[in-house]
Amino acid sequence: MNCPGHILIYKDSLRSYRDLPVRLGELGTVYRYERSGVMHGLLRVRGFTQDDAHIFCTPEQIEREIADCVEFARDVLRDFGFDKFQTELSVWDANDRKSYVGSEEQWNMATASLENVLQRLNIEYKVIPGEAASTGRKSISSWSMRSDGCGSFPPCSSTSTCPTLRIGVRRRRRYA
Amino acid sequence: MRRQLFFTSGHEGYYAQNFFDFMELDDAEYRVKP
Repeated sequence: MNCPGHILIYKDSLRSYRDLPVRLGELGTVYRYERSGVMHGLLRVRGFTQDDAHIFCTPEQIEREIADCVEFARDVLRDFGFDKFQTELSVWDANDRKSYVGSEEQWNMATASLENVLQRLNIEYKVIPGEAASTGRKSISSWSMRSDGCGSFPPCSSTSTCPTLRIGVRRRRRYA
Repeated sequence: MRRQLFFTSGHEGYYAQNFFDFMELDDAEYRVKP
């Protein structure tokens, strides 16, 4: 994962809220020793490169940033010939609070931001309760877009997960 | 990257079994980026 590195870069200098949003992106190669069968969807075992970005912004800037990212992801997918999408919105499970960090307000804000953007862009989506996840205890709502029929190679006959967009609201405390 | 960073991020405690082992260089512990 590239997030810890991006957070270090962000906090390397003194920032003002007027500098926000700060957008950091990287084609980051990561190495993992995952047991076979653990991962689904993408073909990945020992090393792979993530086209990864992290945006540091104020709560007021979130929806604009999400909308730009969603549009960007759709543009890129369309350029590669993917034009049928399924969209999933992963949200928390309010009945299982102990598995999640963050307050109800934070979860509602993150989910509402994603939902507002999807509705504004007329994107149909399926809500998946309890799928929101992150480090250990769950802290992130996410949006992901899947595309059908990804061609003959890699041999994924069903659907493959393509871009995922997440809102994290609890990071800063760990790195303070 | 220094191993300490992944203790800070919280990944070390949950996902270390999916990382390649850390290595020691000049009295500090490092990991290839997981």
